[in-house]
Amino acid sequence: MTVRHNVPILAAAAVAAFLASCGGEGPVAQISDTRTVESLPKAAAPDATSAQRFGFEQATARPSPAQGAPGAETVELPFTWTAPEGWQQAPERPMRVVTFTTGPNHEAECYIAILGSSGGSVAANINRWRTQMGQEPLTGQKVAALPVIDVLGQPSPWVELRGTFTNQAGEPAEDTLMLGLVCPVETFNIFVKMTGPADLTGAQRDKFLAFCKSLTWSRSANQ
Amino acid sequence: MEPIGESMKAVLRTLYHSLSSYGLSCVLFLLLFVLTLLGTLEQINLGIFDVQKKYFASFFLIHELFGVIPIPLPGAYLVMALLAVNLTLGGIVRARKRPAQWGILIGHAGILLLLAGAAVQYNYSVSGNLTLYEGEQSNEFESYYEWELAVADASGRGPYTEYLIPGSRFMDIGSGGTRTFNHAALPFDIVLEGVYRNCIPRPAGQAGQAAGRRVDGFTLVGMTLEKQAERNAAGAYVRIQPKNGEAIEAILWGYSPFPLTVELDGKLWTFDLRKKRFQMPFTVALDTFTHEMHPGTQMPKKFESGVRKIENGIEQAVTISMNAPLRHRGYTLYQASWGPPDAKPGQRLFSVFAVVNSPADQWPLYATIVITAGLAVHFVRKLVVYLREQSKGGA
Repeated sequence: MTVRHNVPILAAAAVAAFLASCGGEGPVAQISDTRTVESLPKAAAPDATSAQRFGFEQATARPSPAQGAPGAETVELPFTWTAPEGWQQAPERPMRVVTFTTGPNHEAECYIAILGSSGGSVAANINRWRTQMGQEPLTGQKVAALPVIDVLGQPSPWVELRGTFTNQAGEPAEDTLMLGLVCPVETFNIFVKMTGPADLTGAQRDKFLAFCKSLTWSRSANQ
Repeated sequence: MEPIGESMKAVLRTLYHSLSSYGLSCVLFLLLFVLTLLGTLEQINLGIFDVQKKYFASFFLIHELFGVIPIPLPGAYLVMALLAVNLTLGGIVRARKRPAQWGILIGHAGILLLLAGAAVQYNYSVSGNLTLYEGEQSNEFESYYEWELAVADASGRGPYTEYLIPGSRFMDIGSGGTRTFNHAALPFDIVLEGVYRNCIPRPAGQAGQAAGRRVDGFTLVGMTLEKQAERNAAGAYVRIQPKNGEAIEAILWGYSPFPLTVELDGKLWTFDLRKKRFQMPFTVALDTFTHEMHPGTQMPKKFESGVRKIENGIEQAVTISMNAPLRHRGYTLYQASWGPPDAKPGQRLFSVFAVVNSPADQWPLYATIVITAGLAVHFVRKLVVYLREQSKGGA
């Protein structure tokens, strides 16, 4: 069978496929799918404002998880902080206590995270940050020689790293500055980490350090 | 003039020869190679989910060579459909049926089973994840990628009827489009006026250059798509147009902890833009979760969940671990991950299960067995013939 016999077949198939790929719904459409559930995954919250729905404010009364649906575990934080001027609080993100952004297009980001002993030692985490920035890990001695500031009554080492930042997804961002601090508290480490374009983030250095120093034990933590 | 019947026969004969030809097989395999190459390279720019949709789950696509030159190509779905037809007609119907060909025929049948399994898997399977804390139970899981808008009358204690609009019906609207959805039982129309695949709501004054339409002091800021598509947060501007009354404008966002709740005619209506949810015919209750790390590392050595499968009032204790999923009624639950990673001793842990429902779950295994059997038949026969000829020659 020659090529000339196959070409019309393939061409017809291609045209049919192209037509099949076109089209979509019109401007008005009927809802056709319904289902019945014993409980709604998210209960109604008639008093929730847009700010609360988008995580910019804590809800005064959080609806309880619907029956049969996974619930959210809340952990009371033992410390508070003061956000620097010009930093906007961002919506909640998994595994973070709080996230702030700054910059004309919110290019720089700073967040607080808490990890238990399974999250690794101070040195291990600092070296993980160094690896993210394409730099060689430090020896224990050199980690011990890093500059420290007092955070929550603990001497807390901090680093300033400039280079190409590679995130967990393996995506590189060139000329990035990372400011990172580790505050060891009993069996936990509190991390404060800021990343963003080098010039923008460098201009936020003092605010970053002030933010770290602003962490204050709350009353309940002291009781 | 040739009778119509004879013309039609000639056309069908030509069609049959074309579709069963060896030449067509070569063209189709070449196209599959090109699509695989281009799709793999495209993952530099797009995540795997979007590449699969564009190159492998489509009938037709436009590939931009060097990012500029548009090249139309058939999608892998069309190519594999044609390959199945070609293999059936050329590799089985038209093929010789002598004993010497039996192994090849069986192998071809196995490949057809593999292609059929892929088609069933693509069209009829669903997958997602189910997160449970210890002590919780659920019969629903969430899609990784697909979204839906669920509207419900939340007045009263239940059961509740949810009116569902799958994301496949509105994600194509885009940020500048509009589409109205209605249902005879709803006292309002739902008008989506701008849909984003990935976005974040910002206070309008903070959105900077990205400031767009403002609703209740907020605006949606579109973001570039994440390569890991499950991280995208869909959002939309919505206008709820009652049949009698003033319209209500709002923003819906996929990561909102609360649904949009509106009171209309004395009833509370919720509008929840969320990951698509699927119901299972049984409930899974997580009783205990245990995990071990390799000493001195964060590498998981073992983690497993002690669950109860509850169906029609009957409970069965099952352990789901990393290499031992739960399979029941076409659903497979794999132990995927767990948390929270900073759990204090004694703190409740949650377990994450990857859930797959595919009618063709085991078909690749069956196809492999059939292909192996075909190859075995073919090569054993070759060996026997060879040995027989050798012994004749030696005699």
